[in-house]
Formats: sequence, C-alpha cells, structure tokens
Amino acid sequence: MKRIRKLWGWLALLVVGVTLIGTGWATHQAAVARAVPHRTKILFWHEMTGPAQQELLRLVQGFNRSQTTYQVVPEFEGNYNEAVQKVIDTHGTTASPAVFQSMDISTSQLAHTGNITPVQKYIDEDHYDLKQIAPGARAFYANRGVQLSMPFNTSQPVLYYNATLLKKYHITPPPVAPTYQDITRVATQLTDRSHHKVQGMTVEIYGWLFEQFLANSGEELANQHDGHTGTPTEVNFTSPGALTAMHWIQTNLQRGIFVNYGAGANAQSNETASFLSGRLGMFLQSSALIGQLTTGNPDRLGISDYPHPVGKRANGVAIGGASLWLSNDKSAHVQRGAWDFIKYLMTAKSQAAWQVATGYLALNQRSAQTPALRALFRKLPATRVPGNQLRATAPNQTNSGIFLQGLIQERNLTQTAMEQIYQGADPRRALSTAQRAMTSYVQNNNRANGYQK
Amino acid sequence: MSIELSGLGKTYQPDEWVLHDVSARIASGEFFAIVGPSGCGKSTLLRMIAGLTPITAGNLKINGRVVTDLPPKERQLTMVFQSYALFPFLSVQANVAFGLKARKFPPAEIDQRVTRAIQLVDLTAFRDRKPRDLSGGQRQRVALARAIASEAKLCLMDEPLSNLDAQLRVKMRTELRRLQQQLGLTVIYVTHDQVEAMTMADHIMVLHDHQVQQIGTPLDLYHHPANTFVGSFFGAPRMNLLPARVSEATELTLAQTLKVALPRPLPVADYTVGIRPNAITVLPAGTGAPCATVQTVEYLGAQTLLETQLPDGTALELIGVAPADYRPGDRVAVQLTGTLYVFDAQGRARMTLEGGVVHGNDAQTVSVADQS
Amino acid sequence: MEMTHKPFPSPTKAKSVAKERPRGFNGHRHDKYVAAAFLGPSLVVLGIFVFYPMLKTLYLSLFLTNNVGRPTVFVGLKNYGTLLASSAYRASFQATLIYVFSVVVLTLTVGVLLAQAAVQKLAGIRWFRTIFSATMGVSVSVAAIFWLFIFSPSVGLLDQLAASLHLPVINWLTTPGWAMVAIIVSTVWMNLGFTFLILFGALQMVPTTLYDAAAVEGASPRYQFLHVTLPMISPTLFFTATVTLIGAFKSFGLIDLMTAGGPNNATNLMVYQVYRDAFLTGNYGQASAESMILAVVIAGLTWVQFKFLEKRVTYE
Repeated sequence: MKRIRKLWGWLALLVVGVTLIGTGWATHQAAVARAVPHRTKILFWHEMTGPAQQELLRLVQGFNRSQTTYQVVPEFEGNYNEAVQKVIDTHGTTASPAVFQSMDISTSQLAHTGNITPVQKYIDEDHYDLKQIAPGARAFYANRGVQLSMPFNTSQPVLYYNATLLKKYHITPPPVAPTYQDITRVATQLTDRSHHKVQGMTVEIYGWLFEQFLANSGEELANQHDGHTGTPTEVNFTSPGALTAMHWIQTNLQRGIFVNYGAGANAQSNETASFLSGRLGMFLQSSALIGQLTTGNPDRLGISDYPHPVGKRANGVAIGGASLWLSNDKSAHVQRGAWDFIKYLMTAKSQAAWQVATGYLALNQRSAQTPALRALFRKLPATRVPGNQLRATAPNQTNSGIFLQGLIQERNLTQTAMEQIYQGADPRRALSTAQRAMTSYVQNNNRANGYQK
Repeated sequence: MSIELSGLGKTYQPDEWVLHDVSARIASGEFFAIVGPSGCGKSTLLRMIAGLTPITAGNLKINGRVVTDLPPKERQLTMVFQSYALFPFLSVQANVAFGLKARKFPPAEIDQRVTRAIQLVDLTAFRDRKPRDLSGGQRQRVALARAIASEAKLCLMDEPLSNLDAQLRVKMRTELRRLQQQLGLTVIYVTHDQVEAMTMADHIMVLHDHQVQQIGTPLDLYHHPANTFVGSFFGAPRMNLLPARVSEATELTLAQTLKVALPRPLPVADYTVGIRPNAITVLPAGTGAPCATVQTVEYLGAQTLLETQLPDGTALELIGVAPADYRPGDRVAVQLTGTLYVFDAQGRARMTLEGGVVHGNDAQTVSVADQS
Repeated sequence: MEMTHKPFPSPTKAKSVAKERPRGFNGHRHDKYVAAAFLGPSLVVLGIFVFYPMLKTLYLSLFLTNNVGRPTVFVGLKNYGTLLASSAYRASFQATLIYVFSVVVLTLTVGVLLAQAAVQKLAGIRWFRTIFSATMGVSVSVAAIFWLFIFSPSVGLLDQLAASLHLPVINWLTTPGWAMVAIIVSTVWMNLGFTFLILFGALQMVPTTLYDAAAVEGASPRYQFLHVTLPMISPTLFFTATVTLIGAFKSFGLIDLMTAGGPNNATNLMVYQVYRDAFLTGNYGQASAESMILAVVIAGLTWVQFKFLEKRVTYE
C-alpha cells in the first residue's frame, strides 16, 4: 500500500514537472517569437564545433543585436563533407539556407552547381573594400577575377614543435622557414638524445598536407594551372615535389625518427595528445590547433612555417578552412541580409575576436591593430607565425588552392597512396595508381557535367 | 542386478531433509514401485539412484558395487521419463540409437539392437518418423525402446504413464509388465498412482513426509498397513479412519458410538481405528438400530457409495446394499464384519481385528452397540 | 497396437488437397477486393520505401551523375565494369567477405559459449547474465569511443597492458591487418548482447529431461552439447546467423567512427564505399552500382544460407 502511494507521489511529481517544463518552453518560444515581430529570417548553416561554435554563435548574436531588419538563425549541419551534399540536395526548397559555410575543397563544385550568388555581386554594389581581406585567403575562393565566396575560418598548415623539449636536449629549433633537411636534423636529434623516449616527427596521412607539399614546391596538382585558367582534365600526383616529399617521409619512417599516427580525426587527436604529453616532438597541422595546444600546455609551443624542399624557395602554402556562400534561391532582400551578415563577420573587430577565441586567422588586415589581437600576440608571440606566413605568401596559381571538382575524391585517393607509402610501398607506384583513378574520375565528372565530351 | 539403498538422504539446504534415511533392497528381476503423494521426494529418490541428483547421505550399491558418487553413465542403468525425453530432431530409430552412438558402439551392433528394440515395442512401421508425428503412447514406446536397446538390466521409470489417457494407461501397464518379465529387467518405477503400483509391482515402497513409510508386497501393504497413511493410501474406496478410545482395558469405543471388545488389553489412551468400507455391512432397513446419517449418495453402477455421518460428527464411508435406494438424511444401521486396524495416537499400527475375529485367535464377535 | 492413432496425411496428399481446392481468389471478384484491401497498404508502403528506391538505384547505376546528383550521361553497365575491373573494389569485396565471415562465426561461437555458461546454475550468475546482455543497450557511437580508448596507441588500454607485460606494442587502428581485427572484435562485441539474449532464451527452452536422458544414456557433456544442445537451438542459431550476416554486410557506424575505412582501405567495406561515393564525393552513379552489387551479394549469400544451412536446422 505504502509503495503504491509512493509511486503515485512520484507520478504526480513527474506530471507537474513535465507540465512546468512544457509551459516554460512554450512561454520561452512565445517570447522569442514576440521579440522578432517583423524581422526577416536568414537561415545560416555552419559546421563549427566546440569553442569555434560558441564564438560563432556569439558573433551571430552580435549581428542580430546590431540591426533590426534581419534575424540570422544559425543551424549546425555536422561535418564538412556531409554539409556540401545537404546544401546541394536542399537547394530550391524552403529548408535551404540563405548563407552557408562550406569547406575549402568544395569551392569548384559549388561554383559549378549554379546554385550560388557570387559575393562579387554585392562587393561591386557596395564598393566593399576587398583589399582589407588577406589576399592569400581571398585568392582561394576566387576564379578568374570573380570572388565566389567570402573566406571565413581560415588556417594555414604549420609546423608545431615542443620548444621546451628541444631546449632540454640542447637542440637548435628549426628555422622560421625550414627545409625537409632541417626537420630531419631536429627529429633525429630528438629521437637519439631522448633514447627513443620522444618520437621525432609525424605527418598525418591527410590529403590536405599532400596538397601543401606540392603548393610549397610550386607544382601543380591539376592541369589548367590547378584549374585557375580552365576546367582541369587530368591530375598529376607524381611530380618531383610530391615524390621528394613522400620519399623524405618514408625514409625517416623507416629510420624510426618519424612515426605514423594514421589518418582521420583519430589520428589528429592521438598526435595532439602525444604532443601535449611530451612524447612527440614535432608535427604538421592546421594553425587552428593553436588554441588547443597553448591552453593547459606546460611546455612552450614553437611554430614554424610549412617545410619545403632543399635548394628551393618556399612557394607558400594554400589556406585551409571554409568560406561563406550565398544561395541564389532566396529573394533579393534575404540575400542582401545574408551579405550584411557576412560583412559583419569580416569586420576587424569580429575577425580579431574570432582569432583570439579559435586560433583561425584574423583575415581583416586591420584586426592586427585591435586591442584583442595585440594582447594575444604579446602573450603568445608564436601565434604570429601563421599570420606572417599567410602575409608573406604572394598568391600564385599553385598556392591558391586547386579549382577542381571532386577534391574529396582526390584526398581519398592521395590518402590511400600515402598510407601505402607509409607502409613501405614504392611512392611512384602508389601515387601513379591514385593519379590514374583520379584522372578517370575527373573525366567522368566532366562528361557528366557536360564540360567535355 | 540387485540394488541396495542404505540410509540415503538428500538436503538442498543444511538440515532440511528432502529425503531422510531411505533404505531398501531390490532384488534382481524385481518390479519395484516407489509410490507416494506429489512432493514426497519419490522422483528425487529415483534421480539419486540414476545419478542425476547428488546423494547427500548414505550409500547406494548396484550389483554389490558402490556407485554413490559415480556419474549416471557409469551406473549401467537406463531411464524412462514422464515427458518421454525424446529428441525432437531425431527419427524414432535415431532416438533409440542415441545412447549406443554416444557410447561408440559399432554401427552393425547399433543397427541390430535398435531393430530388435523397435520390434519389441511394435514400432517398426514408424522407425523413420519424428516424435512430433507420433501419438503419446507411441512416444512412450520409443522411450521404452531406447531403454531396451541400451541392454542395461536396470531400468528406472519416472511416472512413465502419467501423460497418457486412462484407457491407454491400463493397456500400457500390462505391456510394461510383460516386457519387464520378458527381458528380465529390474525396474524401479515411480508413481503417484496406488493402483498402478498395486497392479504392477512385486514390492512397493511408500514414501511420505520425506521418509519411507513401509516397504512390502502389494498385499502386505493392503492387509497390513504399517500406519494410517499407508492404510488410507491404498485401496478404493478409502479406508475410514475413526477416532477411538480405550477407557477400559479391553473395550474400544469408536467415534463415541460403536463399542468393540478387544481380544487383549490395550493401554487406556486415544487411538485411531481404520475400517475399509467393504469391512462394514449396512444392515437392511429395519434390522438393527440405525446410527449413521446419509449425507451424499454416489452410484457407481455395481456399488453405491454412501457418505454418512456418525452422531459425533465423524464421517464414515459405506457401501450400500445393492437394490436399496438411499437418500440424504436416511439413517442406516451398520455392522462391522471385516478387518479393523487399530493405530496408536501417532498413527502406528497396534492391532488387527480380522473379519470380526482377532487375528490368529478364536472367533469373537464384535458387538455393535447403539449408545444413543 | 494403438487404436487412437491415425496416420498423418502424407505430404503428397496434402499437396493434392491444395490442388483440389475449388477456387483461388481469382475465382471470386469479391475475394479479389478483399485481398487488395488487405495487401494494398503494405504494398504501397513497400513500394514507396523499398521498390521505388531499388528501381531508382538500378536506374542511377546506369548513368554518370553531375555535381548536383542528376543522371546526365547514360553509360550502360560501365559503372559496373569499372568496379569489377578496379583492384581497390575487389579488395573491398574481399575485406567485406573476411569481415562478415569472421563476425558471423565469432558472434555465434562466443554467443553460444556465453549463453551456455549463463544457463549454469551458479552463485551470482544473474549478474553475468546482465553483463553479457549489456551491449544491447550501448549505442554504436558510445561503443566506438569505448573501443577507440582501448585500441588507441600510447594512451590505449591494450597497448599500455602490452607495454607493462613487455609485449610488442601494436598500432591497432593504423596497421591494416590489425585494424581489421579491431573492427571485427568491436563488431562482435556489439553483436554479443543481442545474440547472447536470443541464444540464452533458446537454451533455456531446451527441456532439462533431454540432458538427463542423454546423461543416463552415456553421453559426455561435450557429446550432449554437440548432439542435444546444438540441434535443439539450431533454429535460433540459424536465425541469429542470418540476422548477423545481413547486419555485418551493413556495418557502418563502428567503421566510420573507428577507422573511416582506413588504414590503406583495409577496412573499407562495400557499404562504406557506397557511403563514400554517394555522400562524400557525390558520385551517385558509381554508388548506385555498388549498392546493387551489395544487394545482390547479400541476397545471394542469404539464399545460400537458406539452401544449405537450413537443411541442418530442425524445427519442432
């Protein structure tokens, strides 16, 4: 009897609780609805997680408060790869976004869908000063003089090293612009002097890094000058730049001074964990990792430019990250609002806050003078390196990204080749196989889209 | 194939005896029944003999060999279950051959034994059927054939006929008995049905209250029950048990109504007297003083059973005189003409008064007096 | 011998009875409507969610698709040809077979052993029963994280254990052979909860008198397991095998989260290749062809299973 009464008690409590929550939610929703009586909704799709998502939502809030015409509604869409397909599949429906974030390598594909309004249209209309945006980042998302999308979260691949460890073993740090040889030296010394307690270096099996080896060697991956002068019809994975880099990694893996952490998100989190625990001396990764590598790291973080082959000048690397796009399936009024939102995100102040919070580079040239960024540079001088590397890069056809559809496929294929090479396969053979598969993919794709018979 | 049970006991929890001090000797070729109401531990005892349930106390010998702690397969016996325990996925002949295959007999011998066993139970036409395509009786015969094929001389049967309908059960009794004798099997047969035990067994063990109540031939148990339980368990209709008192050394008063003279003195005390209905004669109306009131009347065709009540409220079951028509409320006079069993207050047999005559002594009329 | 027994109708007789039945539903117009009314809803649902997608997939597999996923260039069977000629796809096919075979065999073996252990009447066995069936309540993502912790190099449980025992440290998820082992182990672990529960139920349904009878007849525990237990649970085993087989062909979550098809495509199973081609590179024509091949393979193997294994299954 007692038990039953108790049960009823709980049940009643549950009912009351659910009712309260329900009422609260409804009231809240009503309040939200009341707060924006006649604002135009701008649906914004993004793929940011963690601190970057928090900062992005803060910026969205800032924009919504800054004016009364528009209400940006942010929606998280999962990972980059899936988001591209979703954008394409929902185009023309009410579910589609007015403005969306899409990754670097989807640029050519999105441009070719005909689903987007190039931001160039509004740049022209507003006489927007595009020069305030970092040229290396801009170039990546432009084609034949037309700015297709606005670079947003932008990073550069850099070399991270544990400065404290290097000092401990009396090793001279790599120079600001290291060659492959410089890195071999540091990795060898680290491995030897720590008696193999510290792993010298790792290069993640990652197509993006493969592309950067070519970019920094000044070599094209796709013909038509990496697609900047026309639609590519074939790819080249076996240029000297690619082979040199792959031989360099393979030799050092075999010598035991490089280690292989594999591919994918797990590889990235594993190498980061090892680096932070002092078991890994150096690795190549996106500059967006700086935030994670500085907070709570007792060791001093060293950062250098992306390595380049001996006897050649570094050509500079392409950026990574994503840009902001406007869909053309929305009314002019909505598109205008979306563009206003992009402009807001690109102000010196927004960009400075973005870099401080996330480690992505502030793309507005005037951000460097903001108090926020100046404070960051004072505190962590190493965080200047990626920005400097970006500024030092004069954009040309081999370091401004590859304007090619199917770059995800290219990354899958080069990653597979890298895996084989890391396991000891002949680099030329592995890369040739990947190259044939990719060229066939490109040609099929061109046929399917009617670029080529 | 003699079996000796000495002081067998079983507990699951310490000091909670499910079976206590069970001793018996079963001779070779004997049909030995273990009978008792459900929950008396008879199946447990059989499983202990089989080796399926470990023995807590005592010793078990089969053919002079101590097998108390041996696994079933080393006891050289076979078993037939109430549920038949046939393997549903095997044909009749494969079921019969199961044990022989497990024991790795040569195929030729298996085939010969199986064929013979199936013939013995008359299932040759069904040898390729699956159990699901057989009737209950046929399934039971498959189980028998399996036991036969093993050629073990000791066969344990756990209520093998209980799942059959009444007619078939009667038929199977004879058949089982025939097979047992034909093959010279020693059978230990567990049943809750006293009729089954009476009709088939050479000896019967009565189990009740976790203990052996009595072991004996069917006639022994019927004519000389060791206690009230055995007395009332065997025989249909059941034995009447009447409260009785000896107030003077040689006079026994039943249910405060009927007086019986004792051939030899008994201590002054309370007793229970057992009288089977067929030991009481109902006197024709008008002869003798009526003392029992009819409560219910059951016509069984050849007999009429009367449920009556004595003046002190004691129930008494009687067999009516054939043509007479009884109705509830009738009062009838009775005469004790058969055997009386006198049990003490603990239910143990003390004295038998036979056919109105004390056993072994000269005739002495048992007078029935109407006290009222 | 027995008067009550009447022989069962033989199969041939049963067939002839069916033939003699005067009219099928073709005979009555009314019956037709009733049949349509009963079948209609499920036909519509199946049509929308099964047949249409299948036909559409078949259609797409004959085309090249453009960058918004529309079929533009008819290529006939070229997509299939490309796949069959591709060594990478053949490797994926082979990896899938190895994976599926290992997963089915291990899931059933370990499942039966666990279930057999759990039916023993031992102190605290309820506890183990709960533990054995616990993976039923674990989602794929949680399981993936759990196994990533175990297989992770340098901080992973397994390698720390190996290091402390002075055994060679294995890079589980980055060495092709070991990565396959790792995902097989994880998948089997995920499957076990369900398999255990089903097989445990089946084992409990086996009447204990069958074991008693077998023991008395001289069968050793091993013989009892092989000749009583296995045949008695064979319908359940067959069911579990079929479900596990189809499930293994469709394994996606663990692979996506643990290896993403790597290293060196060692764990790039057929279904994962479909995902990559359809949802990462937007190559719908190719992905459709892969789906059709996968569907045919699954259907084929299931058919083989029914044809050859079901003969050894005994239903009561």
